[in-house]
Amino acid sequence: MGRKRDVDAEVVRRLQDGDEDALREAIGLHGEVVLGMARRILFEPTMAEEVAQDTFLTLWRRPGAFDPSRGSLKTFLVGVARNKAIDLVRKEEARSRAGDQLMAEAETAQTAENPTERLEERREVREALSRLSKVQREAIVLAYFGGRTYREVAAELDVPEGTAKTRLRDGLIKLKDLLNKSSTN
Amino acid sequence: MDRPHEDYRDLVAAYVLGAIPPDDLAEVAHHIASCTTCLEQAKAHSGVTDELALSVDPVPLPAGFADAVLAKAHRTGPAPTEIAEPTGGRVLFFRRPVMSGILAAAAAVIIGVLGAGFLDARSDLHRSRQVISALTADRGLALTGEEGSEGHMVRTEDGALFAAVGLPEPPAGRTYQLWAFQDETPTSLATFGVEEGEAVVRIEDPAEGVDALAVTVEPEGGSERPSTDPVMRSA
Repeated sequence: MGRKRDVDAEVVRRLQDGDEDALREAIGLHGEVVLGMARRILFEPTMAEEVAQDTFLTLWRRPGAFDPSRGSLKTFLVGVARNKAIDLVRKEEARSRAGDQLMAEAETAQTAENPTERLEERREVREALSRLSKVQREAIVLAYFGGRTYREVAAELDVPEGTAKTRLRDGLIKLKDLLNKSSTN
Repeated sequence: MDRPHEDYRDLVAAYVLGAIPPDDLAEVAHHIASCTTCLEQAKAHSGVTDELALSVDPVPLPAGFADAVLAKAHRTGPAPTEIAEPTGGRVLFFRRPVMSGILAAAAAVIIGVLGAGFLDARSDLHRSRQVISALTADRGLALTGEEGSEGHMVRTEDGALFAAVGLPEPPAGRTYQLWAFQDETPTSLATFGVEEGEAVVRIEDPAEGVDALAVTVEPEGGSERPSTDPVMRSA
């Protein structure tokens, strides 16, 4: 873990020096999961690709925004991508297109076939998500990948706001328990 | 408006998921950072959202992706190293917590404390310090000044945030000005006033590679270079 932090910190240093190779390396290391997040939220490939490009543009322009002591560069970049993608989702057009696909994905517990280094961890999270109650999973997916506010989650799931809030809360707590259990196995 | 803790307790998860409506964001953020229970809960939740972030399927990059990014980077030019003129003013609003952590969430709190007018008339410096400490515990540039005043600048994905406590009102016709030093060269980042001893400023284009920060008192509207001794400076 310490080594990864050092690698991240080094990339940032080089970016601050304007080293374009460092940007290419960051894209090589993290580009696929950044694009993956953009596609997860937006579905439409052109918009997703633009969000992914803009994410690395943000890294290029503001490498100092990433703090290695707070987490990995990968997580940071995926977070930036998510924020940008959700910005688009919150404009009506992108939202209505993504809506059905979002809910469809919430229904299934997918496991990835793609061979990458993070396969095991992804599988654990997917597994944990699949073990939430359907209503908790729906709420979390709508909020997290759909950019809905809890009020919108309540409206879309046709439940009171209090119920939506509780589902989000209980869902996250349960996910944490499940992930803690799987990490100690 | 202060709702009972119970109301906020159920909003912490929504907050960490970025699911709080923009209008309520400041108020909820304010509570979370001032409430130990909620802050702990928010920290726990953000560990989970980090995992959710990494649970997506990677998608192969289209050919020429990196070239396209670099082409855009060249078009917009390198990160600016000099700010043309002082940017005055008040706090602007983060619409959503940046996923890179609870510290950014606490940043939104600072904004809530000042920008949204939820500052309790009886609230004291101590609580603000607690919030600012949560904000800057292990990142950012810290500044110290006379009489226990302190400041912090923290970079964010769309600029930087500067917060200060313990500063008196500047004399009439004067303003505070925040400077970034690269080697010995000062660049103005912002001018700002204080409200009940506190200030939070969003800086849109902070320079990279800043060696030091300082705050001076300048004439209203700011100066081109610092004209007084700093009232607050980084180590």
